[in-house]
Amino acid sequence: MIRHLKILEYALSSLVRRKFKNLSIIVVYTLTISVLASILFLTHSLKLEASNILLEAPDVIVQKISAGRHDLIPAEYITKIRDIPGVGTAKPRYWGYYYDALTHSNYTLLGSDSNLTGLSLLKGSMPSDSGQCAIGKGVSDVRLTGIGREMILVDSKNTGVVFTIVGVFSSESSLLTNDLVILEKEDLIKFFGLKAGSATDIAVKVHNENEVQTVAGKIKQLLPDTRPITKSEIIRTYDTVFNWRSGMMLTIFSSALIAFCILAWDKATGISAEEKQEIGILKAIGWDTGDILVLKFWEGIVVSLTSFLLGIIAAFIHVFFLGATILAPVIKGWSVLFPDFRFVPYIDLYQIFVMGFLTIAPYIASTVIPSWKASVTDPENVMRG
Amino acid sequence: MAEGKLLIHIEDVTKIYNPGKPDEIRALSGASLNIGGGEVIVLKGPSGSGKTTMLSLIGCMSRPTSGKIVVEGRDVAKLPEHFLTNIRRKTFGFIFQQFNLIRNVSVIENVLLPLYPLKTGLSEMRERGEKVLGDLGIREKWHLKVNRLSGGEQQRVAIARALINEPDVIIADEPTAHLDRQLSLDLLKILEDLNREGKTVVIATHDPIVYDHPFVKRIVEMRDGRIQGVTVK
Amino acid sequence: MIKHRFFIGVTLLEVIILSIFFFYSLASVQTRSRDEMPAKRQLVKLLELTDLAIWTEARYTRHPSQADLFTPFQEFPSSLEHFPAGSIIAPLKSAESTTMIFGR
Ligand SMILES: Nc1ncnc2c1ncn2[C@@H]1O[C@H](COP(=O)(O)OP(=O)(O)O)[C@@H](O)[C@H]1O
Ligand SMILES: [Mg+2]
Repeated sequence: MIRHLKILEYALSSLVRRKFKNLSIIVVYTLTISVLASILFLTHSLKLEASNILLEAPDVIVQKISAGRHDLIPAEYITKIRDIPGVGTAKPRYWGYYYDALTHSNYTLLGSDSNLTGLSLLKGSMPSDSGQCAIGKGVSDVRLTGIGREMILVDSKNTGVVFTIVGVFSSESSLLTNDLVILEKEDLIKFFGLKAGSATDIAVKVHNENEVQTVAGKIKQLLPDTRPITKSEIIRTYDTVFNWRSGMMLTIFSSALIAFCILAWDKATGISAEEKQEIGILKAIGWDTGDILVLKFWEGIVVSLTSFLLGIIAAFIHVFFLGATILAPVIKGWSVLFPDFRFVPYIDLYQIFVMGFLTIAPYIASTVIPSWKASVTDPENVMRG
Repeated sequence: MAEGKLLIHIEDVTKIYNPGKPDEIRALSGASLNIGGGEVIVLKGPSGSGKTTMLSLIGCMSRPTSGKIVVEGRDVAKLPEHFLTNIRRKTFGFIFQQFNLIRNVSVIENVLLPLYPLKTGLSEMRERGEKVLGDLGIREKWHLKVNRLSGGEQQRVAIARALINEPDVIIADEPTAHLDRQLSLDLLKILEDLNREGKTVVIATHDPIVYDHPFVKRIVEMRDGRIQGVTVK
Repeated sequence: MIKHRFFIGVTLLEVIILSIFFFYSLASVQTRSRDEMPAKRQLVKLLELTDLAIWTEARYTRHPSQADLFTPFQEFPSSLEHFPAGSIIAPLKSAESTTMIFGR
């Protein structure tokens, strides 16, 4: 124990000697780890949040597919679906996209029943009458508007339609409602000029949780031109956020990996004449090969553990206290409306340990292994300089 | 004091570098020597005559190609590395030709370096370090980086480091090579004092200041890896 | 000679900060799931939502769970992705149970 403490002491002296070099390694290393950890934290939080919230999503959504594309679904499909045993309710959903040329942003327009009340994340009320709308926080921000004001949207006949804003969703719900514009169902049908007797898709409620898959299969069988999407599929979609194969991850990880390899390569090849000489001196004055490996081990631990801990701390602050401000523009891509992240700090300890292992172990290896070769040779060479 | 008990026994030792290769070099051939406790012995000879090789064998820094080296009753040639290190730690203090201090590390840390892997506690280490530095008159420089010191001071740091584990044998390879006359004499004074305390001193040199000094009792003349003759004063 | 104490101190401090973060996160997850989750679920339920409103640049990034595989790639399945968000989330790969009827 005392031996380790003392060797640690010398390892620190030895690191302090190359202050600049080691500090820059720690800085780069900390940055790399904090970027990776930020992404892991953010992804994990988003995934859990999605799977928790979307538990209440419709059991099955039935789309009509026509020529490989999503098409409007005829209303008579609803009755056919209702007749399938196990189906509770089947209701049409009316929604679509709207490009707002004024702000260059895309909204999601959603038709709602006029009798919706008691939404706790809505300031004001839902549209209860023709000519009213409720909007997401993002929309109200980008349009610089609010409750009681008017909003003009251009409909499918290219005429401006005036809606009165009666409700704005609170920012806590941004993750769900940021770009929503909710209209009365009849308003929406008229606005988009939807064909009479057709809907965007059908939301199906199934009595028994376990029968969802069966019902979906039956729908597909009964109506071959549809595509049923089950709730579990919906939730599963969010498992692919930042998955390992997607481009973003690949870019970040490969650059981190490359940075790491350069570092390791530099260490592996660059055990300098000076370092070799030092190892020789230590051996000559009574250090064992083992002692030298312990020294190098501690040098590696000091750099990598410090970087790792600092990186994780920085990532935590960044993601959970600052709302991933630095990463957000990257994730945002070309979206104009983008919610403020208020991530719930779900932490996966296992993930952190794996990350710790994957960053600390290779660094220590790249510190210890090159020195090992230098430390097994006879120290006699130092006598000749 | 040459009649002290036998400390190191060297018998018919040969050291060949790069054996079997085109650049094979016979650095030492058939050398035999006995070193007793408390002795002062000088290896004298021109450059390349095998002095350093001899010292490294005596100090358990390397193993002979053939022959026998007995230190503290054990044949060094056959011991595994770990034991060699152990013997080196306990028995020898080295003063190298180029001081071989660790640059950019403080004087005290350089001096204490041999103690880091041992069990000695930090405060005891510190005490011992300060005492040794005090004995050598450079105590007030303890916190400076060694490369800030003058040549003579660096030499003293090197000596302090050699003394820190209280060795029985001081091995010095051309210790006056980088010193002027006065500093050389100072150094010899230090070695003389150490010898008076009972330490065995083995010096390799071709500097007359050293081998003509009165405290040197035995001179081993070397040439081309062979011992030419021994002069006892 | 106290560098190792400094290092151990700093490391302990870092570990303590992380532990505080960890317990903060446990507590925060608990209170926030209690305070916010029901309201959010209510929204999802009443508005029949299927997706998170994160990426609004394209149909398949706004509603990844509703997008068919052709959407991201338009008419050519291996054309290059040109929305950045598309490299963050992939559209739903549905595992439909399909019955095929062969006719002649
Ligand atoms: N590691 C080595 N490899 C090859 N030859 C060496 C090595 N070390 C020393 N020699 C050779 O061994 C001979 C004796 O060297 P050395 O003991 O250093 O002599 P001295 O110290 O008397 O100058 C020299 O010819 C030297 O070139
Ligand atoms: Mg020599």
